[in-house]
Amino acid sequence: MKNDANQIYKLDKLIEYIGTDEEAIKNMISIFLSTTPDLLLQLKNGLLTENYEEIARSAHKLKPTLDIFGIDNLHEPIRFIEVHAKQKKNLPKITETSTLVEQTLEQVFMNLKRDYKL
Amino acid sequence: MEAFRIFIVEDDVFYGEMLKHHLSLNPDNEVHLFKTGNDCLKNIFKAPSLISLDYSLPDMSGLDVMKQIRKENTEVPIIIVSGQEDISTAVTLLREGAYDYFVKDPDVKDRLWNVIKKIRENLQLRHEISYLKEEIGKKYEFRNVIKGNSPAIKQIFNLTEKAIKTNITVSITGETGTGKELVAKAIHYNSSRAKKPFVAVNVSAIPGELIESEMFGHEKGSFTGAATRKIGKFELAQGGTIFLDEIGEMDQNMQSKLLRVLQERELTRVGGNDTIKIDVRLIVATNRNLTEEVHKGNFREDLYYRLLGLPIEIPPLRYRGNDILLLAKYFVDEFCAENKMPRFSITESAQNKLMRYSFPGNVRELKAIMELASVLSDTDQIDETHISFNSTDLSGNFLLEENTLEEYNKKIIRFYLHKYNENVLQVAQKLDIGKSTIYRMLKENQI
Repeated sequence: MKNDANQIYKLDKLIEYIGTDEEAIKNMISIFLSTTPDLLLQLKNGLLTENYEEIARSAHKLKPTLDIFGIDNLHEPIRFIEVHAKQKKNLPKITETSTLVEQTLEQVFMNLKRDYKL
Repeated sequence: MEAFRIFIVEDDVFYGEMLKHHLSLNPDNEVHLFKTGNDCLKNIFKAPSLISLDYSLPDMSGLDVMKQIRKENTEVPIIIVSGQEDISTAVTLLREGAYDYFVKDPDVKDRLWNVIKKIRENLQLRHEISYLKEEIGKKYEFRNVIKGNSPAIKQIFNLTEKAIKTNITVSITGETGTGKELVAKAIHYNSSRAKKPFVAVNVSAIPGELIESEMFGHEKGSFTGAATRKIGKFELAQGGTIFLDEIGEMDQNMQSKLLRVLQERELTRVGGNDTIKIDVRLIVATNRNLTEEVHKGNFREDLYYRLLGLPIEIPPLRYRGNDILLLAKYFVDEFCAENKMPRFSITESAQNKLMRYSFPGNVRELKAIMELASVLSDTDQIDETHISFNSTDLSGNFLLEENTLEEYNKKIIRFYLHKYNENVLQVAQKLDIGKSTIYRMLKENQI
């Protein structure tokens, strides 16, 4: 896939790990598509119950994966959520940022499914 | 080379699968993925070569998993991989024995490869070392080290066999050149400590003021010139054997320090505060008569008894009968093989000449004599003209000393007394002097 500037995900990092084998990349993307929604759900659940620990934990888990998929738009936001949830403060801002994370990821899921016919 | 088995313990499915796939790109790696600490612990018997452990697992923390692993396997390198960017956590983990600590960022893989490379190199070196140690062991198998058929030497075989089965302290006595260090090495390399170090210390070769730091080590700055920390010989021999040669030369001050270390089984480096437990087998050797030194008050009695252990007395070569010829042949063959020369036979006249000699320098001297003879011979035989004795005791050098005649007399009598095992009557006959002359000199402590 081409990595043009307005692409919201970039696979360079993933390719560094997986190599250029198309099947292997598709396989990793499938795993990403099947596991990430659960983490998002966990994040949403944390927000609903105002459970800071759960928010921090899910953000913490999402962070490395988002880095690997080169989702630069979420580089700062996901860290913001983790840090502030740990400090147990600024829930409105955390909620707002989480919405951005969720929307962006939904878009990433869609693009990935489209680009890789999954 | 066998597979390099890597355990990845990671509850983040995507990240774990990605690492697994990545590390499997090298076919030498056999990667196993576990999602919980318990899964990993259940499989620890598979003896992984490396464990990459996520710090926050659902069932237990990375630290707890690591502690559990360490109970089963103290060696395997464990790398903690975590999203945590917290220095104090990292420090704690490293203190608890983690090999390294990585933060989960996209560069993790480079660091993982570096670590794997280092660990593999390390493993290879360890394999090489254990192989070489086995080789050394073979070299020091009894029959390869101590040669001879005489009853005296069979008794040595018997005692050394006993010495290897236990950790008992062994005290070896024997004249110079009889092979005290060889016996010590043979004991070590045939004992259960064979894979640990053998450290030999010649006590007489170390100046008195340095001996304590040589033996027990010192801390940086403990005395002028102590620019760095030094690990002593006892610590170097940890788990293995320390061989103290010429123990009779040790000064009184050091004797009491040694005694304390042997009693407590622990030591303190010079200038240090920490006590260090030591597990070291001790073998000592001396060519002096230690009992006599104890009587004279030069050697502490309590230390003497502690060191005595299993006494092995190596007989002088001159009491070993036909071993002289057996060894002579062995040394000639060995020398020829080393120098790629055809083998020599030893003529009967040469054999007789050897058998008549007293070998004050013992086996070491015989070896030198036979090597010289091999060089001197132009034929395929070694005859008596090739055998020359250059003993330092009574040879040309002796006359160059320019002693008084009285001094020379004493030296001659002393030499013969030694040669004939302190048999005054025999010496008197040989030298054609009255035995009372010898007794008088003995009494007056002149000889």
